[in-house]
Amino acid sequence: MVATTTSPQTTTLAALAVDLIRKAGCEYGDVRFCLYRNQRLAARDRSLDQLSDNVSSGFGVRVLLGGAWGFAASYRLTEAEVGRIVALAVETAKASQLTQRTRVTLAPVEAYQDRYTTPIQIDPFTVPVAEKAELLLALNEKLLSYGERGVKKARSFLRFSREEKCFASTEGSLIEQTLYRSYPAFQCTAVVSGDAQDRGYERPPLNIGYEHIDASDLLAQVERVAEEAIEKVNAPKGPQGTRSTLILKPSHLFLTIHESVGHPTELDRVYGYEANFAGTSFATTDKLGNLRYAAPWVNFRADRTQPGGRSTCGWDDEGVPAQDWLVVKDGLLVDYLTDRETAHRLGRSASNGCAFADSWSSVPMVRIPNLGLEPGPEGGSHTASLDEMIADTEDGILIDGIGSFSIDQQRRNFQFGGDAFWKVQDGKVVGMLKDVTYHAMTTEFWNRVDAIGPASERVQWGTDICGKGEPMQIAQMTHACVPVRVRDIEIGNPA
Amino acid sequence: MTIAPTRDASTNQAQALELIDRVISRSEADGVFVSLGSAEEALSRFSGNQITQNVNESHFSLTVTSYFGSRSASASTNDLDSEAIDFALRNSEALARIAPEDPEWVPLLEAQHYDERVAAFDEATARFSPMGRAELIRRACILAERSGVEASGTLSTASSLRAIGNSRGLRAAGRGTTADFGFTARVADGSSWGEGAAWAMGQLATEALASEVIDRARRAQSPRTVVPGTYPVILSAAAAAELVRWFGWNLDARAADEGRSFMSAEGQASRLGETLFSPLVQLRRDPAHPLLQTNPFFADGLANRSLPIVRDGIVENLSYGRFWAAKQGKQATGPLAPLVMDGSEQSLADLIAQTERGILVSRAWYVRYISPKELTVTGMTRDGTFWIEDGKIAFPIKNLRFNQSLPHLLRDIDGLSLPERHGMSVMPGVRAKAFTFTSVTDSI
Repeated sequence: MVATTTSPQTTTLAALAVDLIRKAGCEYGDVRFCLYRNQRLAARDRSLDQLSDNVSSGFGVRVLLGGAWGFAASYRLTEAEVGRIVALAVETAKASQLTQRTRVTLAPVEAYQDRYTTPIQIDPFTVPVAEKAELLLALNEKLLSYGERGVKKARSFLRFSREEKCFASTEGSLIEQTLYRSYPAFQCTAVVSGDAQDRGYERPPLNIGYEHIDASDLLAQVERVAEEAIEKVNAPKGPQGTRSTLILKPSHLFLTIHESVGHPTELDRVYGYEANFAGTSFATTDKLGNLRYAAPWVNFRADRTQPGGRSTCGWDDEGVPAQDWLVVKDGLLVDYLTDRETAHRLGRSASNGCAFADSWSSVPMVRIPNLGLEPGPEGGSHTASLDEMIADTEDGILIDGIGSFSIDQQRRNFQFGGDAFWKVQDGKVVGMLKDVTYHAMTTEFWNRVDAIGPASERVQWGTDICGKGEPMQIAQMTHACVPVRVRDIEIGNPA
Repeated sequence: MTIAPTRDASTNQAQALELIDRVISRSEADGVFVSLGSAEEALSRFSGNQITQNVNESHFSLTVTSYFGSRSASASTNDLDSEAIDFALRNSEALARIAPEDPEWVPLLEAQHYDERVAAFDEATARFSPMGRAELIRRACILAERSGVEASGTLSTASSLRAIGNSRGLRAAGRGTTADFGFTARVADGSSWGEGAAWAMGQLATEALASEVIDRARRAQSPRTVVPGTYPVILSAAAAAELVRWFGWNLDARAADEGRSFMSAEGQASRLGETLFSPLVQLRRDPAHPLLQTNPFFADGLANRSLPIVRDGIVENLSYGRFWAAKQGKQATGPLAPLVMDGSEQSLADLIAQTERGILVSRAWYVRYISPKELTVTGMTRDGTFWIEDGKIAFPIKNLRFNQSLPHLLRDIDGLSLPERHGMSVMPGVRAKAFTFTSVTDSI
């Protein structure tokens, strides 16, 4: 069986890599030995079409030589391979020097010798697979029992992972971490009168144990989800070419935060590192401290320490401690998401710890951490519960869950759909709509927020499929948030 | 043991198949399927006219799927150690024993007949060095610097090996190489992008592409605002490839038969055989296309051979998985990839010269469904959007959001240019009579 990242073999190989990096004359270097176990179950209708339990292990070596980067990675865990990979990383750094205009310098970080483990109650890998499979097939069976009324497809999944990693650097850090992740969801499709519409439910992806797979909650949601799928497929289409008030539930809003606040404040994008692929950002450094990003009662906080957050950890993949900080304070852009390289470029004395690599074979890069919308303060002038927002809205649309989403490469122009939509009229929810999209410019949208939910309505929604970088890497993060109301937003295609 | 695509082909593939034989012989299940993959990948990334990231990755994986009756489960490892492989095998068996009966189970494939050809493998690409990549990037960045332009992009190579086998005697193995160059040029409020994809580094004209992109970025400066609306459009081959792949993903026969697709028709029968698109649209699966030359088999063992998808605007084939094909009495097709669309001998410039007025889209970005059932999508233009008037590029325009029905786009095509490889598809530039833009952005 593969060695664990905490085995003597791993720490010996890590020490060897660090020694070889130093001997090669590199000013900096690090190595990450990782062992991932991913268990996935997925059911489609009455068929369990995925039951997999996959293990992947290996190591990646990153060196900085003469101010230029080199990285190499391999799955072969031998001393000879460590030697080959360090030499290849060094050779690659020398090649990078061929185009060098500016030397890379890293913001300093202390050396840590420590470990972190996600606190969990139940290890997902100790729960019998049969129990997991039975849950998915029971969910699907229950969904398909609405077949005569139009529910024709049912899908459900359970995803679990354990990520063990050992980080060692030439600066003296030796950090071991074990992260657990759990994520259940289901969805159905109603097919009626030539149309097909989806409706789903999930318990958001979190760093948590099997206790997150609350079977009674999942089963209890089926009736509502199936009924809403049927109502949705029979509902009128959403309006086109109008402006309306939106009331957005956390299950929907997290993605708007992700796309329009998370990505624009990644400092590597701001500096153009992603110009060829994911894009750059409108939130350039000349706007730091003066860009009116949002209404004054809107605050966005990054936090890699929050319990359960999908990017919560002890240290990032450069050995920088997990921390929390405000990115937008009282509506103003006040900070970015950095790694050590971009933090130094910004003139900061330390990174705020957003480096993440999705595999032992991937190089760490700036990724959105947990980034949430702060709840409205109790008794605040713009604090309102979801019910109060609805009761106070004459004409609007309530949106739950995610659907269509698209945003331009500098993160201004966006268009979102959702999973479910309800018309709000004279303070009441009066019925479902389908095929609703809304469109706005980022800062215009966030400046039109006129009500924010209280702390009691905060939910840790998030995603496990955020793509960025070349080669593409998939990151995972939480966007804890509360409901908001946004005024005067464009709905559908223009008239 | 080392199994790497860069080693001698026959030895390597034989070793991979030997390993598969060994796993199969140790299986205690009613049936077993084994898939082995290895790859050497390298990518240099640059921004601000210098390399900012430079990576090399060695990969290996072995996945075992065990079957007991209609129960099945998979387990994988990336450790070549026999103990680790044995653990994966026994884990897949243990999971399969307790897996539920699968009502959609199909028997393992018997040995298959594949086209007698091998995927393209270029030794020089497989062995291309970090210094070789850096030198090509240096030359492109010098061109950018001389033009006062900021260059970003990637230059990458990959060599990969895939071998599969099962307990019913199916065996297949093949290896291939790819080389890709992406280049973005930015200057003031102008931006442009281009990419080249090939199976050999020698086929990439990196400096020529960089020069073309730099020139287009300079011409993209000072964009004007065009009022959103429905206009004739010319999509570059890259933009067309980005949109047409969404079409390719939505040709699943089961979705059509179950009423969930734009190909569904009332009464559960699909729209197969209807003239839905312009007669210019000729689309097929073609793994043997000279620009692609991928393996003649799919990862599950089905043969991947040429298959017409749209002929003269009529959809002739949908994609059938093995279960649905058996249920419907059809032949399983496997996925409809790689996609190849016929074009013409004309250049994109020829298409522009024949266009009275319209919008030229160089790149389509962040394309997502609006309605999966109707196959309408939204997305943005980026990196060079231009207004065409009287057969010429009149001026650059600000980027636009589009909300567009893809079946309508294919219906409205009235011109095609020379096909190019983009990613794993071959597409021409296309001109369509109508394309719906809904909003403008200041983003460059």
